[in-house]
Amino acid sequence: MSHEAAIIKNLKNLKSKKDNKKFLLALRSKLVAHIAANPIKNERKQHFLSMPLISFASIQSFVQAFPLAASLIVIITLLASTTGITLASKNSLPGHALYPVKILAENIRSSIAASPVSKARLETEFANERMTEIKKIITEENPNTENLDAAINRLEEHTSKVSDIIEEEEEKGKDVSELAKNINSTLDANQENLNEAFKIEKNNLTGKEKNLKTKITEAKKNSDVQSAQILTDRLKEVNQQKRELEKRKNDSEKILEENNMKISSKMKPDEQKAENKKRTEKIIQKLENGKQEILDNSQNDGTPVSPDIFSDFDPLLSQAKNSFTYEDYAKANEYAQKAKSQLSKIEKSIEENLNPEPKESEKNNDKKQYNKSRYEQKNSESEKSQNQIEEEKIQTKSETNLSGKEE
Amino acid sequence: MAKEKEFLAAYDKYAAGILKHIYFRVNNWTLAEDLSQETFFKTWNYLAYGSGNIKNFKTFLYRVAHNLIVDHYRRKAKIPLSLEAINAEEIPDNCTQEETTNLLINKELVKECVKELDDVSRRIIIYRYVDDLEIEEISELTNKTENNISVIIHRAIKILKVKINGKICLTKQL
Repeated sequence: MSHEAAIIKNLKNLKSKKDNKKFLLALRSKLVAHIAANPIKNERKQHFLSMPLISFASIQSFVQAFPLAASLIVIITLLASTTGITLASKNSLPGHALYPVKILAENIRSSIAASPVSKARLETEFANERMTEIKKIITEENPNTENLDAAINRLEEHTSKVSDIIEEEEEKGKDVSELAKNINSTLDANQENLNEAFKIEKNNLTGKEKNLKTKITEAKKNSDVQSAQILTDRLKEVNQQKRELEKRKNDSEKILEENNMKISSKMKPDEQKAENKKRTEKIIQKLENGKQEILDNSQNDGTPVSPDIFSDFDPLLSQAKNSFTYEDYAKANEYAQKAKSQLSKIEKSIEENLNPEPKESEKNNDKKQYNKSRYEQKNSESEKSQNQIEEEKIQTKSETNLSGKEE
Repeated sequence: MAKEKEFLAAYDKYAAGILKHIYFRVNNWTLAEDLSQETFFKTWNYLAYGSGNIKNFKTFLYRVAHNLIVDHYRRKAKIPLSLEAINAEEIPDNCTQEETTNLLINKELVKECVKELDDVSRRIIIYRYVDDLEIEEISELTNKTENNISVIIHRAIKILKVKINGKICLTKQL
């Protein structure tokens, strides 16, 4: 074999060492969600609108005879119908029928943007809109994770467009510091809002968990095996919801943080410094709150945690605070990020001790149960899952029991 | 519905290849994953909101991927494309003769030397031998004539031969 042939043979056999199956599968599901949220526009035709009232031939002859009138009629009809539908779509959420119309309207506005700066502002507006949508979805009774993911994906698209435009304008030699500052502050404000909403929902779910656990213990005391089982299933559902929520929270946080860093690096140096200081201060405060929360919860729950679970966390936090005092915000941020991942580990291990994640085979059953209850929710008139309805039955049952006992 | 199925079928068929192609162009798995994700998202958005018709998914996807790779480099390094080739080691003077035997030519070596090719040759070599594209398809993707493509491939193989020879000679000397 000639050397050339040997080279070619080796080229053809260049195998990528990495196992890509996991990534490719995950990407496929993301795409399916994206497709669901963004169907092709032609397929959105309403049936009754597509039935022709007038024959095509007669329309042709009308247009030929009265071209001006014909075009006016077309314009007016389009304006009337699309304006109405567009307005109606303004508050729609991913997964709703009119959502694609909303997105289409946004795309049109973006493509006719007069300048890169106005496009950047538009994309910022759209990013804010995505955050509003995410907030609304997570406050629903049983948030649909596909819709949530679709909104988060779009959020990422908008934010990267914004930072791309800013970078491009900078490359052209324009002063982008003012624009960066403005965009940054509006995104920051909305991000705060969104984080608050996630926190509230998480607390909600934690409350539900505690509630259910109390009831389960009670049911077991009364040897009510059936109720105990139903309540345990419901508890698993809530655990799952909480985990899914946490994941989306982290996803959106990551996207917004990265974007924030890119954009704030384009601001004026002293404003950047102020921004860094603000950001680092926030993170340090969050860390302290996080630790306090863990300690408080352990006290309230009566599930003590040993003080040395914070042994890796504490020195990192104090180093962060130290650097902060010396105004080295980059270092402070670095330590804070490390402390943050420590804190997540601690939270996770506590979480797993309290609400053990089910084993593999059980996991699939739980997923089926979760999906089944979501499916039933979609089909029932109320927004409650089967388990929720059962849970409430048990609630009223135990209440009547109580009242019975009192008599 | 039909477009959806077509798109997902194209994904199932070409996604792994696209990912591999991007990896051999950018040498970074995380980046390759990001860019291949973006390739497919962009392609779907084109179907849903753009002019919408894709005749040949394979070439479309490779074209989108290529544009994203170019964009990425343009944004990241701000280095003009011609300087993108990783700096090659100098081949010592006494190593210009063909000393290598086929046994010594292995995948790692070939991969190293491919990285050192200039961007155009590297792209086309990857299309031809890693992605298994036909000359016709490569011509469509790169807007070069089929003759030009063959010439580029021929030259690139020659360059690879010299590089590989040089590297083997160097390792022998150590």
